[in-house]
Amino acid sequence: MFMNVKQIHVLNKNDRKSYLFNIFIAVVIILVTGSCNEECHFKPRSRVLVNFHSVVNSSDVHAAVDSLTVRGLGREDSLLYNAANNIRTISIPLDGNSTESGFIFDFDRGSDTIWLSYIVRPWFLSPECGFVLNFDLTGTRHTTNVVDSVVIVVSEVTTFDDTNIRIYN
Amino acid sequence: MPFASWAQDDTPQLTEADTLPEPGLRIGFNLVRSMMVFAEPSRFGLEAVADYNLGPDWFAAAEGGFSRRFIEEPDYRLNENGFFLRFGADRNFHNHLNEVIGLGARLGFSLYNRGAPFLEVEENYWGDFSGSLPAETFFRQWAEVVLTLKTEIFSNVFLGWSLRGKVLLFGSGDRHMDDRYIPGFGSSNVNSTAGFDFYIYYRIPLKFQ
Repeated sequence: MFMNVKQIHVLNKNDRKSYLFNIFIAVVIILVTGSCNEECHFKPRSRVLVNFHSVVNSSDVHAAVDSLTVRGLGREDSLLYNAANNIRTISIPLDGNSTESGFIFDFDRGSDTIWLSYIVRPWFLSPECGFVLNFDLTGTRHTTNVVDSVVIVVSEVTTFDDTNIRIYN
Repeated sequence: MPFASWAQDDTPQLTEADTLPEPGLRIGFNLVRSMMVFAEPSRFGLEAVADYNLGPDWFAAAEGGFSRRFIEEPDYRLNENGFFLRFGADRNFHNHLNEVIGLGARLGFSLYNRGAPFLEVEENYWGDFSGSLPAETFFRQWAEVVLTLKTEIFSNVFLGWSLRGKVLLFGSGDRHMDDRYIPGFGSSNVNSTAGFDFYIYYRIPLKFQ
């Protein structure tokens, strides 16, 4: 099948020096690139992005709300939004130690409580930044003083700026 | 005897056989993978490779190894362990003795597990999250295009480089992170990546009668 070939091509001393130099360069590259410890300059947070909508003349309108105050249920002492005006979109954090978070929305026309149910999904961002918490929204419920309905648009709550729910009032 | 005639008789004549590579099983060792531990102590891996002449231009190739990564930070610990195998062939486009400029393809397989026995995520409003991710086992496959260069520097001892383009095939990976690190595939945030490796080989000469 194969012939026993007498070897006639061998590297001379200069060739060998060249290859040894190549090995040295490869080692240096590996050590330099590998030892560049990166730092976590910015660690994003996963937040539920909420848009406010109204139905006007059978049209779905992305509307603004005024005098909006938002606080977590059980964290009434700490406000997420305080009498904010001309608000079309808000972002609210979910409680990673629970599978449901409640939020009290104070509008200028009254108050409602909205509960969001979810699955907590830790997400490894990078060796430098470690983990963040992502969530999969599974359901909502709410009181109906001002809020007409709550719709899940994108169930995955991640560090990306996707609108997750719409609140119709 | 005329000088011209003498010179012609003694000049070595290369035959086609002189330009064919010697048959043999070539086994090698990935120097990059084993040296990474010095640059990145959290990662350790070994890779062995082998090729065998299927003919003057073709080599069957098999590669395998394992890797381990253990990261310990104040807010998390991450353990990864895995094995990988690659099979394929190279075509040698350089018909010279004991040198290979090869273009080839591989199919790669990796079986690995990953878990975080401890993780903590800071949350200012509701309070910090503390938990863990149980170890899960994953199986991924990928295809590679490989450019290889090998040269004999001493008798039966070769040095070689390889450049690889890799694409993940069907299947899904971890639900808790990008496929940032798959043993044998490498690190990537997307379904493809490139790799560079540096090998030393020893060819076990096989003489055929």
